[in-house]
Amino acid sequence: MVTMMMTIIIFVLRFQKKLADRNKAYHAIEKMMNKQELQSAYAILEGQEAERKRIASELHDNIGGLIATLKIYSDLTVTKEDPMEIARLNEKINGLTEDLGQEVRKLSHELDLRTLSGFGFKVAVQQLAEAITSSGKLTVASVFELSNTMEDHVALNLYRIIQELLTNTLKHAQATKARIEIVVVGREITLIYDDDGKGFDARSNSNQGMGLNNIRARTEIIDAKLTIDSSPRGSTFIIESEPNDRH
Amino acid sequence: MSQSVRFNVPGIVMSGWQDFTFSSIAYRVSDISDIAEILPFFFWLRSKDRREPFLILAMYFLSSGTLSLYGLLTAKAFIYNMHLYHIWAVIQAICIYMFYRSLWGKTFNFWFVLSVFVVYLSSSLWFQKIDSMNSLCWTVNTILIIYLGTTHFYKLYHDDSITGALAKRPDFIITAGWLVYAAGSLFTYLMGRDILVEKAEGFFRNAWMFQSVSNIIKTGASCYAFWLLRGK
Repeated sequence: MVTMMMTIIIFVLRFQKKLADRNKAYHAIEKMMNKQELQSAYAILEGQEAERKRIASELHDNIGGLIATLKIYSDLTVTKEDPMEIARLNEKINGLTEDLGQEVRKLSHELDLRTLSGFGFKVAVQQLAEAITSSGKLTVASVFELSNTMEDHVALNLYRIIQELLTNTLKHAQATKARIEIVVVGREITLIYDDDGKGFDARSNSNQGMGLNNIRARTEIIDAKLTIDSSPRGSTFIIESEPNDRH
Repeated sequence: MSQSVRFNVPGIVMSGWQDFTFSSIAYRVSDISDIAEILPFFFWLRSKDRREPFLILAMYFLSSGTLSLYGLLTAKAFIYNMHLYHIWAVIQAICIYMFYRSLWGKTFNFWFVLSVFVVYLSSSLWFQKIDSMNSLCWTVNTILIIYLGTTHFYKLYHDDSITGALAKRPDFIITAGWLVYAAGSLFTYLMGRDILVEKAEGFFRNAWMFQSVSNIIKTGASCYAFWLLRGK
């Protein structure tokens, strides 16, 4: 009986020691994770700061310069009286406006690419979903299962498709909720998008607006298959890609 | 010399006269052990957790407490009661087995229970008969308790989900109490006839003291465990 009591006491002591060792290990891991999180946060902040500086620099040097030239030409059209001179100045203004549009598009495109390549496809889609949700017009949920990364141009095209789908939903579907599910397993990519809007007739050519055509075009670029299922209760788009390293 | 009669305390021969030596202390301890057997059941009644596995243990204490009190009263009245211990051994083996299986989240094995019943019944009918102490069955009980208890300790030690103190876990307290009881009883049942006398004489040769003290420890531990459940 005394031996059994001693055995029980030894068991308790060993158990307590095991708990203490485990707690110590947990604290060490927690400390390491906190340190890593801090480092990641600093890295993100630094990255964001650098990006802001670059945008500011591009806006000032490139776009700012164009706008300034535009202003000069615009002021001249007010002061000049010769119609030929005014027509020449308007032509220059048109040209500059076009250049300005291209620069803005280029900058916007670079921003998107940087988000995708810098922060990843998942972060880019999440940020897009959060931005739309915060507008209050549509609640967007995103679900990811990414076992490996995609090639840049595949990620970019998928991102554009998602943008197009969300734009269509906002403009036409009168939906309140949308859901984006992206699964990358091995070499196969599946994108499932659905909303609870009023739907449309996917087979009718009259409904093939620019947005849907863009989606089809981008789906073909990444060698994927597009399936649309639409009813008055909502629409579902499924894009299934072939192995993602063939492009 | 007055005739010896065996009563509720196995192995103890009660002589016609009572002396106030250590044997009377042994009797008192034995009486306390018998009376205390039902206490855990009342502690369980106050707890909020009425489900298995503690329900099984509570029912065991209700039955064993009843048998114990009946045994004590019949002993005081000089009524034969040895058959109680044959019944008690079966109940204890089956209840303890079901308690631990339930604690581990497993269903009990019907064939094992049936085997225990058949073996114990056979022992009572043909081997250690109904009018003698079934020490072998009680020895098997203690070995079963030690096996189940140490297995539970093993599971506790390797369960990574447990983060709190063992002293706050009713299952640990109960197991510790039962292991102490089994260790004390095993010694008594195995050694009682060889080293220790059958009379309640002398401190170091009084087997029944060990059994009674270990039983009181078991009962106390079970009461504390059920008390821990009162808030759950």
